[in-house]
Amino acid sequence: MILPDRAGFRNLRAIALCAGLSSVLALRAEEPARPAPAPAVSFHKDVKPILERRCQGCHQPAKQGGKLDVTSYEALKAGGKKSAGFVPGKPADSRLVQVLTGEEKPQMPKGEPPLPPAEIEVIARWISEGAKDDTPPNAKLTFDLTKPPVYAVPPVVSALAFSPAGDLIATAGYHEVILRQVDAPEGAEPVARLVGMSDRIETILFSPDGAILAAAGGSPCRFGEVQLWDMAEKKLLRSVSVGFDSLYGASFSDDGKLIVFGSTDKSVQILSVEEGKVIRRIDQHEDWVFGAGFSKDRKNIITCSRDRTLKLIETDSGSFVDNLTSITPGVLGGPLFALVRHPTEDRFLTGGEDGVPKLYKIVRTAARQIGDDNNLLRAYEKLPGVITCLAMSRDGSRLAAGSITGVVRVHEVESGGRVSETATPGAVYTVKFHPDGARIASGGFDGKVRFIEAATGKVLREMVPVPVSPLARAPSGTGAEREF
Amino acid sequence: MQGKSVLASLGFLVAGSWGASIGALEVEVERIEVYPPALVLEGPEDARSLLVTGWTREGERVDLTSGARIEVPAGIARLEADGYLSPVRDGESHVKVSAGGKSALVPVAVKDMARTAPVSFVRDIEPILGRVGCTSGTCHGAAKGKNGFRLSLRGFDPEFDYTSLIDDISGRRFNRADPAQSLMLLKPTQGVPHQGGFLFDRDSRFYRVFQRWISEGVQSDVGKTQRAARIELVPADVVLADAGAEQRLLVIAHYPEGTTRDVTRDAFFTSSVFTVAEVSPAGGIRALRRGETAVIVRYEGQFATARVTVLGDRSGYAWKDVPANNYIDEKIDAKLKKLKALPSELAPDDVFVRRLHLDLLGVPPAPDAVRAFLAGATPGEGPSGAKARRDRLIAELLERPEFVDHWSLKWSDLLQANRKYLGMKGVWAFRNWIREAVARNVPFDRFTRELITGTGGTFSNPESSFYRIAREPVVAMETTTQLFLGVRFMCAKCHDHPFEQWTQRQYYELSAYFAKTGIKKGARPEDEIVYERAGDGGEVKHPKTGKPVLASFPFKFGTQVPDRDRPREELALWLTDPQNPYFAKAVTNRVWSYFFGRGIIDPVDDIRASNPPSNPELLEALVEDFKGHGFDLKHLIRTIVQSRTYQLSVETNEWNADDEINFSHQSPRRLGAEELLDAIAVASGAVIRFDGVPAGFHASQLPDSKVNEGGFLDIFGRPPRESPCECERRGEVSLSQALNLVNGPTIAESVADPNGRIAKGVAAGKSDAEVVEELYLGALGRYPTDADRELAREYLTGPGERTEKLQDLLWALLNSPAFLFNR
Repeated sequence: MILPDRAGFRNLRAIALCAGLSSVLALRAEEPARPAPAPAVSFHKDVKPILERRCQGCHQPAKQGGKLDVTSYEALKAGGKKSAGFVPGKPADSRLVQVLTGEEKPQMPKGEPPLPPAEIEVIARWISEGAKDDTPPNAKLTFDLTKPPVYAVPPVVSALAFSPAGDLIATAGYHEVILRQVDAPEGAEPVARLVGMSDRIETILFSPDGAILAAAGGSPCRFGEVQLWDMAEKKLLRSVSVGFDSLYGASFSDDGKLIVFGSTDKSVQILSVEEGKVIRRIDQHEDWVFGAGFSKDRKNIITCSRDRTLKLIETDSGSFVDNLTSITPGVLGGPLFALVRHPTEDRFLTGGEDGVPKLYKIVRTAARQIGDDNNLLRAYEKLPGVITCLAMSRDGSRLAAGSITGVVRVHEVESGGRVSETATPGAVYTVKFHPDGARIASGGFDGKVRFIEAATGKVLREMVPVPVSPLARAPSGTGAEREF
Repeated sequence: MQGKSVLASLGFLVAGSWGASIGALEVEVERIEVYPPALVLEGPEDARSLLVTGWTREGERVDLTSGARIEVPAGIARLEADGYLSPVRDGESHVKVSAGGKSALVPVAVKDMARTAPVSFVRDIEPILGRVGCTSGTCHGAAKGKNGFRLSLRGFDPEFDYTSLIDDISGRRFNRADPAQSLMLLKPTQGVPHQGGFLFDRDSRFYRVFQRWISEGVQSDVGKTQRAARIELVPADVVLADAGAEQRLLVIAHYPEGTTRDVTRDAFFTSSVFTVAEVSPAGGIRALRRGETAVIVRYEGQFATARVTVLGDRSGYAWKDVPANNYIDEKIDAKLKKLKALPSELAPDDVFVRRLHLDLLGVPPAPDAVRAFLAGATPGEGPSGAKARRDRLIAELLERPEFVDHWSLKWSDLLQANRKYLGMKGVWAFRNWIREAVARNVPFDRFTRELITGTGGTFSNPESSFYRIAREPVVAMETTTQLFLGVRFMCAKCHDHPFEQWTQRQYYELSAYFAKTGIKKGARPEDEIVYERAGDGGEVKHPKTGKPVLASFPFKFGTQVPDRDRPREELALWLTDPQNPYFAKAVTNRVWSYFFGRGIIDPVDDIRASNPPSNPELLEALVEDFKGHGFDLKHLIRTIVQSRTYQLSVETNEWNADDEINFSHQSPRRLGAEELLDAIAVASGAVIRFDGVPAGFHASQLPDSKVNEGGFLDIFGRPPRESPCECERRGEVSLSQALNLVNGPTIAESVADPNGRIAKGVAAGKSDAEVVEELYLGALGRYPTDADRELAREYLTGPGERTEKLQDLLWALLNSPAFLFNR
């Protein structure tokens, strides 16, 4: 607001009139440029992302280290068992800053390198500017085991998995993995709802002994996460925040000790289940990594990516060994989206944009000729559309492939012959064999899980995995209402 | 109108003076008119905007939209910040519009508010992706997309866009359970980092539509719903008084089922000559200086153009009626009157005779021809006598053999008669076939049909050479469309045409007419036979699907019976049909450009909505006349050169000095390569020899551009005949040209030719004055003036050998603009 130099401060009405007129005139008058003050730090835009990436692994509703939850402003302010989270206006007196700088022990993040000084500075400045909350109303979400998400319509099914015993099926929902009995009747209550921090779960894995359920995913463009759930108690053992985006293509090693996964930052990372943290980061790909798996002896990792390659990498050193696919230009079919290992042998099935599932061995057995594709064991019949997911039966005799056109096909692994084909409405995103090998479950765009008879392709049963209440409002508001 | 509604509803008195502060012209108006005069808003998404026009006492029209105040009584409709009226409840009411001191009531009816249709991906989402910039070529519409996310360029492929948005990477980009957490909403609002930047607010209509679409389950209506069939501009013809004047545009989209939408705020606007007037993203035109421009509007693959004329300060101007020679002058005069310009004077006889020879025959007049024409003028002949004399010269030149040379050369250039494609024998055969057609004045539609349906061996059917040059279906299609329709279809090969409504699909569908055309070796060497494959032989595949495409025309008229067995016959008939809006227009415009240096549409082989004609009425009249005379090219040429417009001087006056596109005067045009060489021969009297052709051949008679390759003709821009583009003949100036003229062997040898004018004149004992007169007539097409004679006399009586000095004089003439340019 501009006040004329010799404003009539004597008369309140004159001031009001001046103020009113000048606010009008100000829009048209030409002011001399003044240096703009540095913008205030925003909790929602600047501080929360730091907390999401660095802190919420151990300080979230499902797992509150030191009784502290940092996933919302209110929770952060309330603090943990020692004290409130911060004192507005006084960063030096705020516990949050004190543990980050190491003034208070243990230094946070616990067991990790400290935050970069620039990030601590952002938090400190926010506190000194009054620690205000500018979280928009539609971003105030908290889900936990007591307050699971409510669905007006089913979300897409981005991942699913059968338990090794074959009694349970785990399906991804929004912010959760939902567990159901495989043969439960329609309308039965779920066995458990494992509600976590990630918007999306991209891979669900049971450890080989079935004791742990690993859910890898994240909130796209915000953070990635691996959740480890205890299957006996149905409780969160560990949440590990990884990077700035969702994680893909996760696999257990055969001994259940390691999990390998890919990321949109082109990296492949290995997580130690026991330590609950990432122990190695490997940068060998040139684009997003969508699939990763261990060789039987865990000595090698095999990964597939949007950069069209299938790579063989040494687990312990992270060194690149070989491109299993031929990388000769014109020979590659396109980005690879899916990867699965044969249950008992070091043979990997991969597929992607060109719609052709391909089986590869990992050790080259002939002298290299450029473009010879020597590792290719067999290419299967082309599916219509992009391959989004692949699976193998537990005995390694059959494979299943799902495509963006909704087609699911089952083939004999050895002979390559087609066993069955099923057309489903909408894209298929995930497909898995039941341990008995006779049934497949598929899920995708329409939010339904379909049980398909592998031998015939007949749909035995459809179910919507999440509880749906059509009158429910979407958590962040639908915007379908018009307000006048 | 931004912010006005708020102030209006507060009844804030300052609102009236805002009109002055914005800078709109202060005009007193007698009355105002609102368009549309009545509003009907059907359904909750049907928002519309208004245009406010004022009429002055002098009957001039002024746009008052940006200064207008709109009062909306609370109830059935609401005024948005961007000036749109959006529906609130069913009912009927009035809106009061005030501007320029007057006001008007606009009835508004709202209905069908209960009818909520689901958000349409094709009609609601794709336009937003375009408007906000997602599908632009610098962002996700680029060939590789950005960060792995690809969309089709400007949304020309909704099926692809839907798959990209929805199914790519397991549906990562949308969240049906919590729409506001969808990446496609978080990214443009910078809820998560987005390299493309902040694009819209959470409370914007863009956000609202996207969120509703996601909540409704991201349905796709691709293939079920069609895009707009056309867009209508209001007004389509804009005349602005002077710099600062404004005009808002309304853009109405018309859909195939008959519904309409006001899409002004989602359309794209560009001004073709942005120094004359600029246009804002909201469709507000503002004049910057006197001149003409076209505002091109694009929405969802549809294009429309508004012609804009800025008159400027024309005080002191008065139109002067001059008799028209034919309808060309009438149409030109109408445009000049509208522009408040005046045409130049008629060019004098000596300018006319040289110009006419060059334009009709490609070679300037010999001295005796100039003498004869100028001598024909009688003192009392008056304007009609002078005109009659010129008409007689026109009639005579049209029958000269050089006419055939000159025009055969032009068609040989465009049809790419080139030994590289046809071999030596083939190129002579094709060239001779073309010459025959020009000599017999074959109607142009028949000429075209013969080429398109050309079949057989090169020597028996030289017209089949067309396919020896354009050997692939897509090449034959691109050549055909550029040459005979004046349209550049090649831009639609990889995506929909960015500047016109042609789609990628149409590119391949039209090419399919040539799919069955095959070429095989003939019995004789260098002979190839063009034939049509029987049955299913040959097909054109769509690059995206890999499936064969059925031959189909990009636009249809009348009733055409598909002839699947003889596709080229079908194509030839469609191409040359009088109802085909491009065929006659392309050739008449092209021929026009040969006489003025510029087409009515320019470039001549780039006709598109975004490249409008400078005088559509003139072009239309030429087309009707041409068609009415059976596509007779000679008739067209005669009509053009008989017009006063063609015969105008290159000297401009105060009222047309700034005109470059409306033919109010002629413009100097540099002689073409062959013309120049032949003109040097005429001026000097030398005979210039060419390799591989009979002695005495002129440059305009050469069979192709490989004769004396790299020599004088190529330096001066002879077309290499490797493409059908008019642009192959280069008009640019180069250092080689300058050096060649000053120092090169061509001129040096020509002026010194022992059988040339100078040598012969000296040998015959002619006086200096006589030789000088001969040189001026031969080089410049006119008698030397007194000053010229004096200059020559002074130079020739100075030191030096006489013949050499005469050669110097001729050299100087040949290096002068008066020689090098057709004026």
